[in-house]
Amino acid sequence: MNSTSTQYVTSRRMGLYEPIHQISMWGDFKGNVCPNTSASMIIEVETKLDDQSEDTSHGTLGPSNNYDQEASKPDKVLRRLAQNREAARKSRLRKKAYVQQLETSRLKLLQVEQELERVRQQGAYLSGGYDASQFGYSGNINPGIAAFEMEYGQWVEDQNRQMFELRAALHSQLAELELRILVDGAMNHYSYLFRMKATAAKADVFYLMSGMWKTSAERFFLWIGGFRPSELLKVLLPHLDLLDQQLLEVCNLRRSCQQAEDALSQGMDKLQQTLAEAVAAGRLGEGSDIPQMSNAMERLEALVSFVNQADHLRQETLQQMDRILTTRQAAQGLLALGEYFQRLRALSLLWANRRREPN
Amino acid sequence: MPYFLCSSNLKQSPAALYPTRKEDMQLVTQAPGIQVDGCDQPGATKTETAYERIRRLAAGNAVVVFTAAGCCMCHVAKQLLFGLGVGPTFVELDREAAGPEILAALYGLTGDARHQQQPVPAVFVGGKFLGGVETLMACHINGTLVPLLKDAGALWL
Repeated sequence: MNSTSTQYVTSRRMGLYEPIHQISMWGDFKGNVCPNTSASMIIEVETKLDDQSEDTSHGTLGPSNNYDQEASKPDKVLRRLAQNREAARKSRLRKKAYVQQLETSRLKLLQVEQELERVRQQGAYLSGGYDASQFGYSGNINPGIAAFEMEYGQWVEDQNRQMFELRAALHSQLAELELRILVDGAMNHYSYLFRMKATAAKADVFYLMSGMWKTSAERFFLWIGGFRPSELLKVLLPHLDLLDQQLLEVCNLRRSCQQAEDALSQGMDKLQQTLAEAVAAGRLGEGSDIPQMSNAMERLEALVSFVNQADHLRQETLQQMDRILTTRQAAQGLLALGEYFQRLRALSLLWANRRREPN
Repeated sequence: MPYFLCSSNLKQSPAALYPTRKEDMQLVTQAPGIQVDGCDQPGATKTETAYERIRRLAAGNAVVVFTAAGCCMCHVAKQLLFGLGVGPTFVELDREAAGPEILAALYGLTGDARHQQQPVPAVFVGGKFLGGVETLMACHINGTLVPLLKDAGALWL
């Protein structure tokens, strides 16, 4: 933009109108136009100006056919000044149009970036061979993971629909049997998720462990590839209307979850330790690595079973809650759980968009 | 949906979770004999099948866990039981003379259980086979583990 204004100023000061130069500048710009109304306006303005600039160029270079009626010098000078003013006005108009086009393009770019972020967060992108980088993706397509991401996107949609149905059912005071069907449906939906994850773990356990298939806020709470059951119980407890006996049982359940989680976490620590030892075994610093890798590879196999056991724990916790609660309470609990995750996902999206606001 | 009894007065074993103990023990005793040395002394005449050895070892303490070195899931089972205040006996198969045979026998015990592909850790409570780490955690979550441990005398209070 700076170069444009500089040239504009230069032309004015010199009293010269350099139509060809300016046209070429706008010409370059014209080539990059995207199909919307302001673009056609630009083209319109340009062709109009192109026509007029040719006229004025004739005028600048010397007396032309249009102006041979005027003989007096001051008149010529006046005319030239008027033409310059006209050219300057036209140039300002074109600059304004150019700036408007830039703004539109910028908005469009923001929209495209937003769309990309949204789509990315829904998980519909190529994956495989992840590093810690959030923004990169490797050229390798892992079909198991690609399939998982598509399935998971569908799972979230189905989840939202189920929550909607649960909410409606609870408000409309449905019969216990019908509510039970909805509750069973929601429980089966979670079982389906765990089955999906088990398959994905075989395809790429590191992908599951990274939580890249979840939104960023959900990822913050990640524990062995998913949510931590005891934390969820803590979140849900105030939102459930429990009898004393039930409260006792839920507290026992939360404690049991905590103990099981601790045991799994300590197992993971042990796995990290043994893996580190396997990788670092032998002599470091001499560029030899082949003998140790098979040992390390064996260690990594265990990671799959950890993810499976963590998911199993989640599944068992949900089922135990289902046993403790009445059908209505279970419906309320599942709804609260679903809404909690919906809010986390919404928070992730809000946060991602907040980053993009211009300051 | 049937409600599962999880009261602390539970006396019988939670049969719904895994095969009944009697069937297991029949499997154990009727299995073709894999002869192992019964004693450490070389040239001992007393031999027993791997299954008999398992049964003997399992009966030796209220809670017995068969483990393998470097098995991190065994560490999970260990930590869970320690956390509950249980002091299990650990049989590390790498240190057992008949380790491989016992491992093969354990495969037979755990092979039928859902998702159970790892023979270790193999948890025995009160001399009876409970399961692997998955069953152990499931029992803990549904509240049947602690009563089972108390019945076997592994826990007080």
